[in-house]
Amino acid sequence: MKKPPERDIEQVLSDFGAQLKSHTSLKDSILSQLADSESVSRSGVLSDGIEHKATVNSRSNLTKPNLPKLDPGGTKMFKHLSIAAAILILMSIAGTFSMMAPQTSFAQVIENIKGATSYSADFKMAGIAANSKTTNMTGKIYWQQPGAYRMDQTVKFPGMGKARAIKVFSATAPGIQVNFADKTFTRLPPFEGATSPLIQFQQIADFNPEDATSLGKKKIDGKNCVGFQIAADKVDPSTNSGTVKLWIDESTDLPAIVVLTLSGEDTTMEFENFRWNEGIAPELFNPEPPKDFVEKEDLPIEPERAVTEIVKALRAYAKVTGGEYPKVKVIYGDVIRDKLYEMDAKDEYMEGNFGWAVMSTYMRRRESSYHGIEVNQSTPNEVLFRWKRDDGKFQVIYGNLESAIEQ
Amino acid sequence: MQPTNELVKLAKSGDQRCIAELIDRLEATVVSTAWSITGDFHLAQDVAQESLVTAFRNIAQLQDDNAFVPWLMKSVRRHAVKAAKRCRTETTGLELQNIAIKALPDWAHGFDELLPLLNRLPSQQQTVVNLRFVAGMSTREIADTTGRPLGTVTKQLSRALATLRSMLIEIER
Repeated sequence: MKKPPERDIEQVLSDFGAQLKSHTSLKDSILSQLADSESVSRSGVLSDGIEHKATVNSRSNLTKPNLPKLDPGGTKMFKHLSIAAAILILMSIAGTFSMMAPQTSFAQVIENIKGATSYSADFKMAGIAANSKTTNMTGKIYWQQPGAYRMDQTVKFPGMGKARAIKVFSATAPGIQVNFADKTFTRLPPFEGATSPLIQFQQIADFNPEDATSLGKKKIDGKNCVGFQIAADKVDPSTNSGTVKLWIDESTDLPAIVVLTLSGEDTTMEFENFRWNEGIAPELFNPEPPKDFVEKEDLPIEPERAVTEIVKALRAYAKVTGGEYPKVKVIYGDVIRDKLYEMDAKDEYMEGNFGWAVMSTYMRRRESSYHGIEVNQSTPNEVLFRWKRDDGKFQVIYGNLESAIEQ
Repeated sequence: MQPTNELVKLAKSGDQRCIAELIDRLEATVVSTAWSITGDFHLAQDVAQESLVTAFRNIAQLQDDNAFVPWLMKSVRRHAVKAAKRCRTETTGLELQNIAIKALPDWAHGFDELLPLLNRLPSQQQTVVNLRFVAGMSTREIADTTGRPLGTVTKQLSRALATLRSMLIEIER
């Protein structure tokens, strides 16, 4: 096709439409099939003849794409809540409803999300941090296939001002975190431990979809939307008590607004102004720091210290639970904190705080695995946690919290 | 032109003339949508036929006459995605965005770059473009057909054309 001058696209489309129309003649065949048909349904909900079943497999491969980054240098506020966990829930929950609400065509929502090439959304969060101070976070998330992410975040602490950070990361290339408060940046390794959450749709665990309730319909920014609510832990058992409200734009079958409430912490996150498949400017994923910003390297963690800290954290947890370890698939800070806080074990959480952060970091690596659901202190010789060290060797911690290097 | 929602209302009661009129009006749009997803004209025709038959078999259950076209287009996309996946081993939804045009009819040479671009538009914009240029509807008729405000349709059409224009220019670079 020749390069079109201005407005010429309309001529191209008109020509295409005219040609297509003249070469399409399905009417006789369709009318014939309809005449032969005896099955004209006249009652019930709108049927589209499509199977509304999600492919629901083991959740064993679920990963958290935005685990809190180990950052002893002063951006701990960003560990407070995993935005990616909410995004994951957003993606996962579409699978939930595809099984229970044929009139909403959630099967199409899944297809649309799986077929998405990009999205962006605004988010805002209000919550209580570990220091019991209220925080407010606002920002924007971006995703572009095949797995480039960007998160722009601004956190407001009462009496402490604002802190802004940008994080760019992907599974295949180095990323960057830029902290505007102290004009520093940190290079991030490729995020190998996670793939696009869009692809992880097929790895949703089974759970009872009847727990979902309808929120009815409402207009949002002129769009007709249908809403649903579900308990967050019905979608992702790793998440503590809370709800997810999801509003689907009926005209696109894609999420328009998602509200996540973690009632235990009085934390709410709202994602809105979704823009799907409109492309993201490549420069937004450019992992280069602003001019005059200073590089701040992560402090390396000695392998032996890492083991010590992880064991200390796990031991503190087991002390509270009578020998159990966190029964989750993936360790990330918020989950552990919430679970221990629920058990009135704030001191134990603080005791293992650094160890949980180290575990979170290691869980981002492709070869890591954690088995707290099956392994506890009564299974002393089973592998509880396994990860690849910086020197390429594999380190394991067993149910009795003894450690070893695999040969 | 008789408004689409009126045709839908009569088609629900089994009026064959209205069903035929709706097929005439929308079949090319349906094929275009399916084609942009499958990349295969013949497969798109199969999808269009299947979608339209399914739609008219179930049209009596449609509660909102203005919702017919959006509902039909969703069904078309669903059928097209499934059909495309059946024809591609181990394909993913993401790959469907980068369709490869195959078995292009002779008359369609010259439009081979257009279809993938249409597929990259948001579904609402794609529908509006198809209704405008394939079905030949005015923006007023599109608004009536889709149940959307005229201003919304105008904006969507404008954005879609701007996007297509920029994508075409990008291709030529």
